[in-house]
Amino acid sequence: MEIFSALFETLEKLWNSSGFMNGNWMQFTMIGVACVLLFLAIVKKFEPLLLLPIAFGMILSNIPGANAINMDLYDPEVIKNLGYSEGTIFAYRELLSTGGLLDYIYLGVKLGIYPPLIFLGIGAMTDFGPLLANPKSLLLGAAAQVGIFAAFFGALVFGGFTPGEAASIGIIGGADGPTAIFLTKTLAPHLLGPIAVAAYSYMALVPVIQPPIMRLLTTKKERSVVMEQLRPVSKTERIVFPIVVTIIVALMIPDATPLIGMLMLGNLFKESGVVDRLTKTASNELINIVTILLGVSVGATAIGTSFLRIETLLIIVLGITAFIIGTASGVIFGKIMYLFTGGKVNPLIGSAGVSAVPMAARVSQSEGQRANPKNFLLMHAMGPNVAGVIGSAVAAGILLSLFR
Amino acid sequence: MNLISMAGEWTKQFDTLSERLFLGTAMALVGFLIVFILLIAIIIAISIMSGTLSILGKPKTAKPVYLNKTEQTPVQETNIGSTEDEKSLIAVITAAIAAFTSSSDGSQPRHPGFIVKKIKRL
Repeated sequence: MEIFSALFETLEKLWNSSGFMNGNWMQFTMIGVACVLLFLAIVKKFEPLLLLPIAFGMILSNIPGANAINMDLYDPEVIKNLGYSEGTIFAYRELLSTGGLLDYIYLGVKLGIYPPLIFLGIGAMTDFGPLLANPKSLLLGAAAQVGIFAAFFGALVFGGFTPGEAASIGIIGGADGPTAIFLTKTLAPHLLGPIAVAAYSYMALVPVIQPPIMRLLTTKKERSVVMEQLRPVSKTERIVFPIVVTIIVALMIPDATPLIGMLMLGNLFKESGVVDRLTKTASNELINIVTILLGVSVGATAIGTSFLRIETLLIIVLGITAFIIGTASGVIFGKIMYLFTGGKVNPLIGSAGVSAVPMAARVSQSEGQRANPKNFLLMHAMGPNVAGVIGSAVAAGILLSLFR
Repeated sequence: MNLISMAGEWTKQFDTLSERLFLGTAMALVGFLIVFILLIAIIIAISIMSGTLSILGKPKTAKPVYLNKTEQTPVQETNIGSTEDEKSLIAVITAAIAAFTSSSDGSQPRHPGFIVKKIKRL
């Protein structure tokens, strides 16, 4: 009898220490949300490269009692109370003594290492030829960044967010995940989870969100415009371009240097043709490794207490507003260019100024072919598309300079 | 402390709706204008770079185009049928010319009516 009683007590103790008995509704809700995101990533193929690790990181950090990640180690108030000096980014003594795997992996986000490394890989995979052949595409890339500042305005004035939070919400409109994470980890780290999820979800929804806006703002005649073939771009131009852009942008907005610098470094690797091994590593192994670490650690920050709030709903609404306004402003600027060039520019390529490469350019291509089956806009749209990457990184640098 | 960080310090003072409206409008406009100006600077830099490289890349004198037979650049004459490759080449050229000169109803004569005698590599 005593054995049975001891066994029963052990089982009871085990059950009482399990996640089922120690969890709250928020944690179980977040696990449910993570499962929905996994469904979207795996079945619907919504940006699976990031959404899958983000969703799984969300599961890990919301398991009751697992303590997979300790966000208090990065909370400025907690750090201050522990006696650290002003400006300390994380409680390093406590991290070393009690930190787990996700705490260490998250350091790459907190210290701003992962997003620039991802940009290195993106640069090594990007062809700036269409942009160099038609530099005016940069204006379309700039126009599409209106969404960032419109959402910033809305978040600040009507959303009740602080300027740093509003800037982090606004950058969702740039449709650039690494940029959004790079900015948010500094200006509003407590919003990193919802902002990262929103940014990557909207990037995946580009083919759904953009076409109705494009059709609403253009006529069939405008959509049918066939653009002239782009001029060939020499190798020298392709090599000099990343160097020139880095110097110009870094001199004007030093805070944009990590993102723009690494983007252009990756591109220089590719275009120089003398460091094939580095190019292959940057565009394959490196970006894949960093993507895994970034995704899991960002997902792990989406803890119930910080995610399941009214602010998250506002972030989702403002994020999609930013995206819609960015698309619309790009198309409207494309129409302006159509008028000024006497009908040589197809306004559809303006929507590609949001930096969801290459999805936004493909949407311009498919909408152009719908209106005119002989129309091939893909390479023309790649110009504004890659310009949008530069534009959103510059916008992030400006917001960082203003509100840090 | 530079202008941008002064603006950042300044923004922390605003609390009322009208102040936020003013701040939001000012910061949004300033931020967007800076993005535009910077990208225009990059456009100008690309245009200057492309123009400079195209000027530097142009040949100093254009090669004259010779129409007169005696001033033609020396041509390499090849003996017909001396190698297997050249026999294949002859067959392909003959077939291409025959196809080009075939009748309008698409029918081709049994013999193309010509023989390829010489190939000149210019």
